[in-house]
Amino acid sequence: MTDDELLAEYSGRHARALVPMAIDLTSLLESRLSGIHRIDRISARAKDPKSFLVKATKEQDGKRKYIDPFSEIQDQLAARVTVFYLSDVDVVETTIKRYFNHIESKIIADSPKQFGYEGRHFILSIPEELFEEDEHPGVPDFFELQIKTLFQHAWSEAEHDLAYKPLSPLSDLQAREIAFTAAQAWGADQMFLKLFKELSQK
Amino acid sequence: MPIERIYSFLTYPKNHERAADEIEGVRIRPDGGKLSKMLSEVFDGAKTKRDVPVSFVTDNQVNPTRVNLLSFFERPNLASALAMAQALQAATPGTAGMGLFFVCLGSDEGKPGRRVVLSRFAADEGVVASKNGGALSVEFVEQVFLKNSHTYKAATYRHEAGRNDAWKGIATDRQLNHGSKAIADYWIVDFLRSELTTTAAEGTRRLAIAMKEASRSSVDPRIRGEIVAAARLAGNLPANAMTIDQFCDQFALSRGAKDAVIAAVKPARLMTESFRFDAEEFLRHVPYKQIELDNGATLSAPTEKFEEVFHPRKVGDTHTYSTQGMIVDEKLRSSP
Repeated sequence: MTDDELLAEYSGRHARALVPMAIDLTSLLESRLSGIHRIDRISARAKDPKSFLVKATKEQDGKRKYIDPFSEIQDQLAARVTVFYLSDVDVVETTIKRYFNHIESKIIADSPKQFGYEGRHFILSIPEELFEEDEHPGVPDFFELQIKTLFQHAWSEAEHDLAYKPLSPLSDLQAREIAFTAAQAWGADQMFLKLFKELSQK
Repeated sequence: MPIERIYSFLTYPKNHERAADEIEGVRIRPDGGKLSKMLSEVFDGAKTKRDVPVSFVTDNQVNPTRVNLLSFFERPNLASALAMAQALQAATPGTAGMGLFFVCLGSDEGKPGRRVVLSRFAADEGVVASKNGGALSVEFVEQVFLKNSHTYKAATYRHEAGRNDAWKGIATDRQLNHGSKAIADYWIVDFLRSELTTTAAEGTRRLAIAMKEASRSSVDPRIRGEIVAAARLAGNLPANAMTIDQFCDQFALSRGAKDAVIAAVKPARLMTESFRFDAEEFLRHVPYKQIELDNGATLSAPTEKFEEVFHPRKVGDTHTYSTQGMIVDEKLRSSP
């Protein structure tokens, strides 16, 4: 399949299946997580065709990273749950694992000596409720879910904008400044968690 | 299409004295004989009520059973099939006894990729009587297999080369008379390292919400009564694998009541999707039973305790409810 054919095929799936599924997935997540306090936002999106093509044509060791991008790229459908405090992340995770089977569950954090991206990531089975038929060719089996605090989300959005697509490589100072903002976000989460626990006990 | 390859292994329970020995295996050439015919029936078997959709689960995208399965798809031989037999033996409890394990590879006309069916036939005991010359020989044997070729456990997976697939399959347990939890614990969880595709919470939520919707939408008070009675008793069900369809049959719901439930399950095909019942989840969605009488009274109590709290009695066409307790709250409300 040429890159043009890949883009055309994905664009078709995107419009036909993924965009409507993202809407349904948002509603489904909202219903499964209803009653949980301090959830700021639940959202899901279908991966943009151009972003898909960029990822699908990535190379590793001189070869295409993905042999079959349609089955290997697991964030064609992705959702995010943003919560107030770190302790709320655990509550949402526990509920998510009751309603969804997972094939990946991990806490992403930079090394202990470095401040940077943090978040909890899952690759979850798309619930059968979202498929009209038993067999569903052209639609992925899985979606990616991120659970983040407001500060983790705010930091990663701004950092993605600033650092992922720079016009030129970041200077050492700029890299340190980004690490500083991550440390500030990390510290804010720790303080809010501490305050929340203290004030909840009263 | 006929099965292309068949491998067979004699497996023991994990704690058996012979479990430490090397597993004996053999490649069987599909030849149209009785064994091939029987395995073809397992391979091509039509979907039944005992089929359960299952999904491999893992925290890091590596499920050892799926890894073995994909290795077999890539290189179907005795060694790659043996890895699955070893995994089965390591997962087999003593109660399951010896088993004859088959790994069959084939494909389906008009469908892409290839398909593997793993099946296990339990060993049984029997008596062999034979005539040797003029003398009758009667012998007790422990390794009798396939007395009834319709009792076995199986799992089916499809794979296309180069694709990140075969995460989901269909498991079957034809040794069970009912949806016992045995299939989930030993064959699905321990050997396949999988879970039912619909989790206990998701399936039970679907059932509870369908029951609630069916009772709300039905205009026939008898149908509403049937559904509410089933919901009240459901809290006592054990955590067995079941489908919404089986639930309706278990509580002998009338055609009208079942149709009301079917109408509330979307998509309707999920009526026959298996999940393990979760009583706590069920009561979370139907926590209260409420009855309105034609005299203006509304009675409400936790679903599973309603009869205990209100002591209902029927006198002719009317109903009498009595209850006694301390008042802990009192309200004026704009609606019942």
